[in-house]
Amino acid sequence: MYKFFKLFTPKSYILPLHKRSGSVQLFILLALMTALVVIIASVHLSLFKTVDRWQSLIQYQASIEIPALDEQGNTRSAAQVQQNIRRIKDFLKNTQASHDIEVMDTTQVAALLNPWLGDDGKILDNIDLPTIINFKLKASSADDVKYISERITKIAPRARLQTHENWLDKFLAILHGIHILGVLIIIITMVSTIFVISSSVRARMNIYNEDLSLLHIMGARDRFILKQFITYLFSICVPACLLGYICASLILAAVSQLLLGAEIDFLPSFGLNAHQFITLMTVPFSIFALTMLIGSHTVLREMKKMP
Amino acid sequence: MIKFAHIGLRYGIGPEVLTDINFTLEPGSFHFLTGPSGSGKTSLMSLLYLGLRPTRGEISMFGNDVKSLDRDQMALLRQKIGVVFQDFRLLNNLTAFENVALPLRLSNKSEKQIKSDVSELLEWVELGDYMHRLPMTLSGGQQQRIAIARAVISKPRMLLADEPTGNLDDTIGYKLMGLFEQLNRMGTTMVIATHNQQMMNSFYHKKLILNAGQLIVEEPRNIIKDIAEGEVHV
Ligand SMILES: Nc1ncnc2c1ncn2[C@@H]1O[C@H](COP(=O)(O)OP(=O)(O)OP(=O)(O)O)[C@@H](O)[C@H]1O
Ligand SMILES: [Mg+2]
Repeated sequence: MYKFFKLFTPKSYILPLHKRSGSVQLFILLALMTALVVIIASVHLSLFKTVDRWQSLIQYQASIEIPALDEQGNTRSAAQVQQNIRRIKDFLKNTQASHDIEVMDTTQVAALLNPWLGDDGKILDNIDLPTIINFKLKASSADDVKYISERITKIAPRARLQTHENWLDKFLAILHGIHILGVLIIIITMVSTIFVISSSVRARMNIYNEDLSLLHIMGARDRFILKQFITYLFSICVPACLLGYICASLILAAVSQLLLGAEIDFLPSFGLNAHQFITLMTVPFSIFALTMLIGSHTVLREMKKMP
Repeated sequence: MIKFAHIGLRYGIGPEVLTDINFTLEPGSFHFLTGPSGSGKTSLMSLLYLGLRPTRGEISMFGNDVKSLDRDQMALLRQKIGVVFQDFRLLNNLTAFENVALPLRLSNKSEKQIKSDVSELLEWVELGDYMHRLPMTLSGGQQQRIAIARAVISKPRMLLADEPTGNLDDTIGYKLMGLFEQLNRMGTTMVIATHNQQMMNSFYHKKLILNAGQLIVEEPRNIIKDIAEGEVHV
């Protein structure tokens, strides 16, 4: 290991900084931090993707549900239903706010209930199905929604307008919560990285204090001392960040494979594309840059204590 | 030229170990620094190699007021000073060769020059066969010779040596003094701290004598008088 390490170090690397214990721990810690941040960041990316997909799918989607029973609890007659449909369609056509009006037929409505009732046609035969009219809002303004909602109840009592916005909002709020949590964890991890690096550099400078002050007296510039530590940190940080990134990618790939196999559509898809994997590459690079920055800063600050 | 004016030094809140030190070292001069144990020889040496800052007074070195220099300039100044420490201070993880090569690396000399200069000097101090040994595996006297080789390898403008011959037998001790004289003739300013009265008496150099933090400069004995009195055999 030492021989291997020696191959890549310049002749000016003269302190055996890597030889004392603590290097392995630092290596593992950096790898873990990288993996943690990569995983959190990738969950984020998939959440964003999911939100995007849902938003485009249902943002302007609205539907009017006319229950099979009227306000007295009587089943609406077929003629009544047809009249309701016609009058609501006419109304929607005449409002500027809506377009793409579509009445779902009984089989489609039945299909919606399928997950709850199963394929058994007999049960469905005994249930009075509601009428559902789908349409798209041109914009989702609260005024439009209120106006349409009032008008349809006048046409068909108990008719309900659903814009999906409500539960989408709630869902987005949850996602935002997760988002903030993730950002917090990333920040905490980065701050821990800062502390870990600066304290481990300082500890190492203490161990080698005699050698450092000797080099200082012999006329080594702070930059020369810094180079020792940069060489050392580089040799630990690069493989650690790479390993962390590779492990995290493998874990993510495995999880995404598992979820794909289960075909759960509504779950955020963990399948990340090449572009997103490249975006995730910024994580090990940031941790590497942070390590080098904090390491250098600590070394220079400690060296200033020598006359 | 090196000039100390009204220099005082104390460690932390302790008493002043050096009080009002005044002296000048002309370029190419040779001084012994002597005085009883605990009189402050090592402390004065530390001030000379800029390892400590004085608590008061002015130090001027090679034409620079030390106080006015920035860190890089201080480093360059230190590169012009060779030091042999009382306790050698070799880097234990580096071979004899690499220890001696250090000053050359600090001043960015080429690998080729480092190789030839270091090998030559190590041969000269009779450590040619020990080049690739770690300091821990060498005797005290051998370590001391490495420390001396490291101090002189970059032909410093000033060489400071704290008890350099303490661990050496007389033959090697005098041979090293010969090396110091030779370096001195080539222009290096020398300050050698020693207790060895016999050694000091064998050479005609000025003495800086420390006693309880005070310094006096003693002129060398008169060589003509010594020859007349038959103490020196020409
Ligand atoms: N790092 C230190 N902290 C506090 N006091 C110190 C320190 N170094 C030296 N001293 C004190 O300064 C005084 C001078 O010490 P110094 O080592 O300079 O003497 P010296 O003349 O070199 O002695 P020796 O001949 O034994 O080497 C002593 O009283 C010593 O206790
Ligand atoms: Mg001493």
